[in-house]
Amino acid sequence: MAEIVVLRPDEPAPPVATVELAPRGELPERPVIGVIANGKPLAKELLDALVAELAERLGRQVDVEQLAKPSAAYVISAEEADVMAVRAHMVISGLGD
Amino acid sequence: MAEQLVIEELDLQEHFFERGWTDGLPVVAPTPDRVQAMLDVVLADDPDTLIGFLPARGRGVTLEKAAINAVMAGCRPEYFPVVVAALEAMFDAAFNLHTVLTSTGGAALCAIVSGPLAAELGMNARHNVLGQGNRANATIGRALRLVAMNVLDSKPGESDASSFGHPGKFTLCFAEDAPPEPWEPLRVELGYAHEDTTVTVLPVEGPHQLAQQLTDSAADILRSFAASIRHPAWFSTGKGGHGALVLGPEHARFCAGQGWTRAQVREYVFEHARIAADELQAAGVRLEQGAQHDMRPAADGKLDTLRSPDDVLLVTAGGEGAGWSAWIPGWAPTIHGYRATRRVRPAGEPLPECGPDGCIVPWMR
Repeated sequence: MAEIVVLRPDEPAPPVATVELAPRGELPERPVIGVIANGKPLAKELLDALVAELAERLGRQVDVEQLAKPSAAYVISAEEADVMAVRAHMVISGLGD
Repeated sequence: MAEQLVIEELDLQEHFFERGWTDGLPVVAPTPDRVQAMLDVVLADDPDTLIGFLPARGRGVTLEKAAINAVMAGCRPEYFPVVVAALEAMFDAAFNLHTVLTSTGGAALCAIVSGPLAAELGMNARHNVLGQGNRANATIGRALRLVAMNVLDSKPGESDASSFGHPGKFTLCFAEDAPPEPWEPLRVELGYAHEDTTVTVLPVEGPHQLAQQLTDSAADILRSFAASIRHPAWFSTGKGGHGALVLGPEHARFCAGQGWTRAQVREYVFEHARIAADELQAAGVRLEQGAQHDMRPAADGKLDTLRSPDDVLLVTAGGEGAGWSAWIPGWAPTIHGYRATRRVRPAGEPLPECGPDGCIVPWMR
């Protein structure tokens, strides 16, 4: 049978970026929980319920730092991420449909 | 440079199917000479030149990868400048390519070519304009999808999360037909010169065919089209969307002949596509508030289905018949993604200089 030379049409997967985990420390008596609502309907309500559940499990009062994206189609900016990292002790950042 | 593979010729199609390198249809073998013929048309000194890069995916499209996929799609080399210009437009930040390729909404990559090159390439602008049968239309559109799948890794069920998708995701590309006088063609309306050829890309749902066969009243025709555009179950209704209104020859002639300008058509369609909040709610639609789509009605109780009159991309195409047009809805409101246009560089005109990192596209607003 005849052989044919062809060019590969795809791209190999890019290397996965490695990140360093933030240091794990004890939570303060009244921690700040950051939440990022993705803009979809009821996203904020779902995250509020999650925060309430977390507060109950932690057995202490919590403060909430909220960020709502104007469109689910875009990620938050690096500046917004930096602000959230400074203000919150933990962040719930992933939310799907 | 792309990796070379040596394959038994009779096994080629099965090999490509097994590797997930096709859209489900057989492909043309991307041999080095066929790929080089594509690159020669755009005078690509360096096949690794980036057309664009998506930081969100860590992937970019080079001229060579675009050419390989254009060969596979069945493009003739002379189509390649249109493919390149369409890809450049897709990398425009406004288009929001990463999300367009990912969304559950299942967007097609619709490409509309306006200008003299369309006729030179033998593109179809008339009968069955959105259908099968024309090589340039079919393969240019198919090349865009193959690039998305193979180079940008937009694979169904994986990074392409389309819940349904639609047949336009195989290919959706067509040419503008010359509009009736005194209307200017699309490219001129968008700010380009008559002698230019442009390609406009839109992320879209499937086309809706529109019938108006018993009246020559431009107002009646456009009002009925607007009623279709504001369908309650369309995702963008009441949320500020966009799309392409493809006016068939009868409808376009009626509008132009009765003295309507293109701007007046767009404004009339925009206004009549607005929908009363009560009508949406009566149809079972919940109004989003406090979320990404602000669906608080205006003082007249209505919501904008289209963001503005400019968001009706007015295109003339299609064949004579009983009186048909089409609406091609944007896949989502404009806050999530939008159309983009690029001039097609004639054969021999070099790529613009985009710097050492290529045309890196910001993926955040």
